[in-house]
Amino acid sequence: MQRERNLVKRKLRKELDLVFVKNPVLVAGLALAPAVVGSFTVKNGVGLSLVFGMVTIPVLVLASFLGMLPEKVPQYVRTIACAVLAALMLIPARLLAGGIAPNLFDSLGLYFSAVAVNTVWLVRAPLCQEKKPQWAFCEGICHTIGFSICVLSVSALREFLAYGTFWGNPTALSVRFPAVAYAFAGFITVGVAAAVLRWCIDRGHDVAALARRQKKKWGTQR
Amino acid sequence: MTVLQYKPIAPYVRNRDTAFAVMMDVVIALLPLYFMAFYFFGLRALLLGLASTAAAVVSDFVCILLEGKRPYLRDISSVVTGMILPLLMSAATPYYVVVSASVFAIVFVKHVFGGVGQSAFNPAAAGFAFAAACWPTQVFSYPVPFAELEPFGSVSATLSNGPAWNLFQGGVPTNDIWDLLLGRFLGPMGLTNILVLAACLFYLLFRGAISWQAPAAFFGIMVLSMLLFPRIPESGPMSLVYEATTGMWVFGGIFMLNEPGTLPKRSSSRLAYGALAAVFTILFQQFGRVEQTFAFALLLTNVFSFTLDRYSERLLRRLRRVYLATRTKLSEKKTAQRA
Repeated sequence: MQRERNLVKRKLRKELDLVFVKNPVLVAGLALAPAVVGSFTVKNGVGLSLVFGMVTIPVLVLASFLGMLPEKVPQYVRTIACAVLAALMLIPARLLAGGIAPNLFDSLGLYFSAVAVNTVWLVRAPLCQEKKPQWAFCEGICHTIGFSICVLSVSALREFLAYGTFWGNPTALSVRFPAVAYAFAGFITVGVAAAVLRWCIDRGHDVAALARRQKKKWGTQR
Repeated sequence: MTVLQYKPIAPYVRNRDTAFAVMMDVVIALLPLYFMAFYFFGLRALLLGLASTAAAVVSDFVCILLEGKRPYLRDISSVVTGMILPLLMSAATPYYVVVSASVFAIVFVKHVFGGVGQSAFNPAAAGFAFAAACWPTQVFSYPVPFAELEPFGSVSATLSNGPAWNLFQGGVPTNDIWDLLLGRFLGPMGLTNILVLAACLFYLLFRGAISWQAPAAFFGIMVLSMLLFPRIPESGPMSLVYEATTGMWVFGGIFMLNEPGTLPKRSSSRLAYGALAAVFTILFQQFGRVEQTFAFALLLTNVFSFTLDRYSERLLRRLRRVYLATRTKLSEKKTAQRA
């Protein structure tokens, strides 16, 4: 019983790593295109996160169910099924996006639909076929949280620098950098965010190693 | 046994001078342009240069410290970048524009790619492109020469577009030819003095601070294209005078194209690099959306620097092989004839 509980804990920790330590965008480099180009206002960031979650979570769960089918069903049929579901999920996502902000769908343009073929599910769906549906769901949730954290922070920074606003409301920033809204600045912002996250992860590892060493040292002294 | 390996790092300076001496020559060549800017626009021109250089040096220093390295005082590449940037802009440009461009050039173009000699793009060109994309009105609005510009704060003098804008719109500038040659017209601080720029080019070539290949190919193609295919309804020579006196390409061909970090290593590839930069500049002039397009063309050319080196090496190796094979065949033939 204890062993099972430990196993679940370990699995859960592994999934939770997808939020920061193995962030899909900043560490794994997945779904870069929407995160770089589309995220220049917070509204866009929210819209992208919403579509990403609505597409990725059901597709990963479906992939897990497809894994239960007999091996006779070829891989390409499973991939097509996932792609069809991803495309279908754009319809409710579009309706929800209209509820959040009326012009959200128009401002995202191509990137709204492009999220349907994001590299997160394209890479993870074949691997999720070996997982139980509840764990595939958990993975989808963690991927969505990781993606949302990245996209929202990048889009908030870009909107602040480019337009001097936050969610369309003016802020105290007097000097503006309109070029930050362009795609090249998106690459730079995501790159800097990835570097900062990497630095934090490394520092975290260093601190943990130091703590372990100290604990060991004190333990032997006692 | 430990074997010490020499790993060459750009800038690949092959003459007897060091990178410091080369950079110092460029700084010396930039000083007359600052003098002319001071003559035309007063103290503000010098203060813009100082602000930009200070911002570049400080951001370079901070980046080096963040990288965990020790600052190397003989590396003055950031001073060169900081000095070049204000010369590409109007004398009425606000200080925050120049400082932001400098910081962007050093932090996001120079240090992100690994520091001095490692950057894939020319930092000054990237800094200018950033400023032109962010604040086009401030960068491309010029005061009249000898206008009294306030040294600090915003400028009260009337600002307007220069003859480069007329050329960009397909019109013919109305300026007097002597004014154009002497730099007495609306334009960026350092780009209007064509005679001083020519002197700078000869100084740098004479000192060996720049190689002749890239500028020769670049200026050759630019001059030819302007003579043969003028983009304004004027004769070839007049079009050349207008384009050369008002465009950024003369300044860029001297100071930015020859930046040692982005310039290819081989002589043959430098020729191709200069030619490619000229072709891109002409294309950007024809289809670009801003009046000064050289910086954007150079950034695009920088991408091909490494590829040109690689292909020229392959080509030269193949030519050498063909030459050797032909020579061997000829000598064999001669030996057979003698026998």
